[in-house]
Amino acid sequence: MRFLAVYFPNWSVTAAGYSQDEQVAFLHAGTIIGCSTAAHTDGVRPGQRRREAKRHCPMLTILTHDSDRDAKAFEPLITALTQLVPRIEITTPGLCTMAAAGPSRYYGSEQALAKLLNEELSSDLLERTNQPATIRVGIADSRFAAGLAARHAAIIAPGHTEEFLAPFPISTLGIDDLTILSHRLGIHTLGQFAKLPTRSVLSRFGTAASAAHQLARGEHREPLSIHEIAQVLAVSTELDPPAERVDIATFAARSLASELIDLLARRGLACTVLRIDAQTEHGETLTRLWRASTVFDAETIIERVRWQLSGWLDAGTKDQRPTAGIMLLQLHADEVAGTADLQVSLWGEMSDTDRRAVRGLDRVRGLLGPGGVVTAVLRGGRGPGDRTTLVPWGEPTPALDPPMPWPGQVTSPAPTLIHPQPIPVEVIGDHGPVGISMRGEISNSPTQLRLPNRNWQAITAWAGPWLIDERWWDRQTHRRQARFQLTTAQAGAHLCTVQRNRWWIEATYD
Amino acid sequence: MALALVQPNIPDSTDFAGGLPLVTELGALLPGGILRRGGSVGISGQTGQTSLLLKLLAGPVANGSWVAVIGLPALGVEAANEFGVSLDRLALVPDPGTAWLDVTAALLDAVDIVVLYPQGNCRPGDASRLLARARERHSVLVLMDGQLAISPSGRSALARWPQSPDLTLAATESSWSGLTPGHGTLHHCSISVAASGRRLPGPRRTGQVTTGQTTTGQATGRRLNAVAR
Repeated sequence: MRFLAVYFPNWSVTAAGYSQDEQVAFLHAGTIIGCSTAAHTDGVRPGQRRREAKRHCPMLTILTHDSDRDAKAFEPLITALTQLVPRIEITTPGLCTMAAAGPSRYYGSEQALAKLLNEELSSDLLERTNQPATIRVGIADSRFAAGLAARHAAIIAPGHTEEFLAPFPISTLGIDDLTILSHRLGIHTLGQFAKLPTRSVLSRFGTAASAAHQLARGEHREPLSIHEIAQVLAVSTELDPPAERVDIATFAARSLASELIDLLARRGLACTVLRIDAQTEHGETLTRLWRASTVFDAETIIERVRWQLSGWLDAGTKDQRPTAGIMLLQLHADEVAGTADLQVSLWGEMSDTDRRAVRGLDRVRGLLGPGGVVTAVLRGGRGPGDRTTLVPWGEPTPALDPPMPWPGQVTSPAPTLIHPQPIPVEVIGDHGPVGISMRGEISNSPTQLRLPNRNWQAITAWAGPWLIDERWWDRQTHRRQARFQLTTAQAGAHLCTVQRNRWWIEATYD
Repeated sequence: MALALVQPNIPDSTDFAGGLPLVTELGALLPGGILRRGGSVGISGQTGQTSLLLKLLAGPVANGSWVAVIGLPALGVEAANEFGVSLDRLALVPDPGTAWLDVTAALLDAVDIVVLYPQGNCRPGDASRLLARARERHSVLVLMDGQLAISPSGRSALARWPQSPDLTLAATESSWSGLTPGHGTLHHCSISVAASGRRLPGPRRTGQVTTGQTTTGQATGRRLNAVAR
């Protein structure tokens, strides 16, 4: 089997109307997510913050990352491609794949096919945007390898795919847990991973790792085709009145997406390739195939619907737009994978308890939206709340600070409650309110404490001040405060902060 | 997707004869030393209820159970970790919004223990449905009082819940050691616990639970002596 991938490097740049020679970069959630070739030459890299990127390239134009804009600009190219090759799967705006065997026979040879696609798309793009664009075509024995080959504009001869893949790092497979695990075992490249015995990989790490192992060896994995399941796994809805705006149609797609996910989950399946059919009142249709990087969940399905419809309803020229509103929307699971195959376990198969929890938490995330469910990870820090980070369920765990010494950190045991809004309190001693001098000396010993709208109560024991003078070099973020621990007669033990002689309860040892 | 680090040879958490294992101090308070699946637990106490909750969760989580905490954005996660509640199996829903009952029900399907800080009043019908769900799924619903000595909130959430839980654990007194006026740091705390409930025969049982640094300097919870049948 042979696969072809068409890759537009830094597609967001072209989609925004710039050429790769201009210095452009895209910002998402505060960090650089992509940039043009010229910016890359100057030293701009994904993961940098705005200031660092500007330092490398002072004339850099920084735009906000907009996946809808990228998708909308990509749609006419897909239309052009489908005139040449019938079945195109879109991975993401800027990358699409197709089976190569049929088309290369039709057009003569693989080289001829690659040349044709390159020329057709270049001229199409030049006509519409007046910019020359780089298009790279890659061909290899598996879809995964074709995507990588496209980045190098290479046609990998049949049987040489494993050789081609060998030097790539393990992270290319895109499975975080496998990457971490492999590094611990001293395996850093796909070549090293591929050399492991197949049977051992399966028994030690599970079916997902075994599938990744097949990919690393350049083999194409036969997906679980719909025909084998002998069922139609599709959902559809009619929109009445027909939707003429993208946001209205996307809203209708929300429940549809959940329906499809549930339909598949009940059979222990997840969707890897999604077919979205949209039909207007006048019978015009637009069908697109979308391939997920791993599997589709409700959010990514809705995103693809939005991309497809913005590319159609909001298309640049009138003849590309439909003449009526969307009346029918259908989602088909075109290719699926068993959910049991999707988890890489570090110590063997995942227990049923873990599987049940992961599935259930995904569902609750669907109910509440991203950020509704979180987990926590430990990291370095000084204050009580600084030593953990909350990670939204479904997002990869961020890279964390290695354990470093943090002078002035709160000692163990950690407080069980950290108040999101510190509670203001009054603290007095025998000689009036308790304050801290500029030199960190306490004015008099604290003896009583009063919470808002309550009576004074005795402080039975206390210790401090532990002085914090953070970031003295930055006027904006300079923080000068003191911490105290104290126990009270009736209200338990607390961690207090004093700043400018005002007291707050920061955390409680409940 | 976040995945758990499962320790080798961990028994699936159904092994403990219909219940979840507990740390020794709490195990001594309950018959069989286990927390029965499919039931409800209420935790209250003006000071010490959070530590009591974490002590309760430590046993089951070390054994492989997952736990979800709904409605407590203030939870000290680092403290939870010190108590032995592995962060790999702790899910948090700090703000469940108006659909908090639906979220609770969905989590009872997913995890072994759901800790709920009620976000408002619950109708008796809804409460019964939640308990029925817990029974069906062999999960445990832990209802937190949320009424603390320092919190300015009104009536106790547990008192407003329409049905009293199968088991109630109350932190009656807590005292911290390690601080004197002007000196030291908080070292460890001793909490008096009273257990009562439908299935506990006789008068209410009391016991002591210690939290914080043990005498050997290790945070408690890491040493787990599960009592199992």
